[in-house]
Amino acid sequence: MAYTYSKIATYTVGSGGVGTINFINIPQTYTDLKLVVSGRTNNAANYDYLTIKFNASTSGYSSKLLYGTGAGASSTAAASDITFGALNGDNATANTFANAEYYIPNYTRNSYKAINQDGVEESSATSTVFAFLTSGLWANTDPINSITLSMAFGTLFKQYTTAHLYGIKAEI
Amino acid sequence: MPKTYTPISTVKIDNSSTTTLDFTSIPQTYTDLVLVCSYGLTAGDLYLRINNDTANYSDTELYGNGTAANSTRLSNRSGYYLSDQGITKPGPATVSTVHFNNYSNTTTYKNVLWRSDDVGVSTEAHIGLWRSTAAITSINCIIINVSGVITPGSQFTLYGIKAA
Repeated sequence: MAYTYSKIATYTVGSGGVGTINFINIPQTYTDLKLVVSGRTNNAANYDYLTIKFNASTSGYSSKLLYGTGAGASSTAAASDITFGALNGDNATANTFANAEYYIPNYTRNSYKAINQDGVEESSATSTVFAFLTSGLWANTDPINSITLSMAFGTLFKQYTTAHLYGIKAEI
Repeated sequence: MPKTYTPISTVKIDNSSTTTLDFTSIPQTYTDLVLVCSYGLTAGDLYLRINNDTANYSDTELYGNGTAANSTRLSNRSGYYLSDQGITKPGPATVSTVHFNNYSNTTTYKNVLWRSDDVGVSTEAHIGLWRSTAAITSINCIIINVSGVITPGSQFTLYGIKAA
């Protein structure tokens, strides 16, 4: 039986936190990538937003979001950024972390990259946290060889934030 | 890493005339199936059928188009829209991940769960029911509504997941 779902790297944030999480030198030998993040930042709110960038590029990103707050659902679009992942902020219930899963098919292909993300923020507080479904685009034909994670509002990923990058090989 | 996520078949679209694709003779030895699709269409919508059945499908959809969130219900259909926006797609710009749980059992109707993202158009989540107790032995994708082709560079992979 083939090993088709392989861990490429894991990043675990230590004490003191970090501002960005980087996966570099991503092997070009898989078909798809899956990135799983359990995250919390120092933003002084229940939530933050996870931002993803490829190959350190700062342009070509856009996204459409479908989200729920527990009280209603809405949709919004972002024309210039992929700030669409779920992250807990520092006011969320202690010891809770948001979950975000990105699926990036055909990341080595020389065409624009479509990305989907499913994410939820976690808190027992009654104030707003979000669940996200997101469609993203990186309008760039370069193969993805690095991924940088950061945040929209805070400055640090908190300790125990984790990010796992998996490679999925479709070949039999 | 457990050896539970196994590619059964991959279809890569290399020409500019493909309008259908089929996964046939699906092994009945897994617990669940996952179909991962990265594709574009020159026109029309991509429709999914099970065992070439042309009836017995229903689904409930939650979607957002960047300005509003909505939900729709489709019943007594002849298949599932993997993406249902009906626009011309310039390249492999749609990502669909489809889950067929407990696909080989012959006693229950089959649930189908899928996420589809049409880049620049919408993000969608679906739950579907195929009203058949037959085991799923084939999965069929076709373009409907208007004539179009699946764009070169598109790729479809069917995985088997074994819970044991």
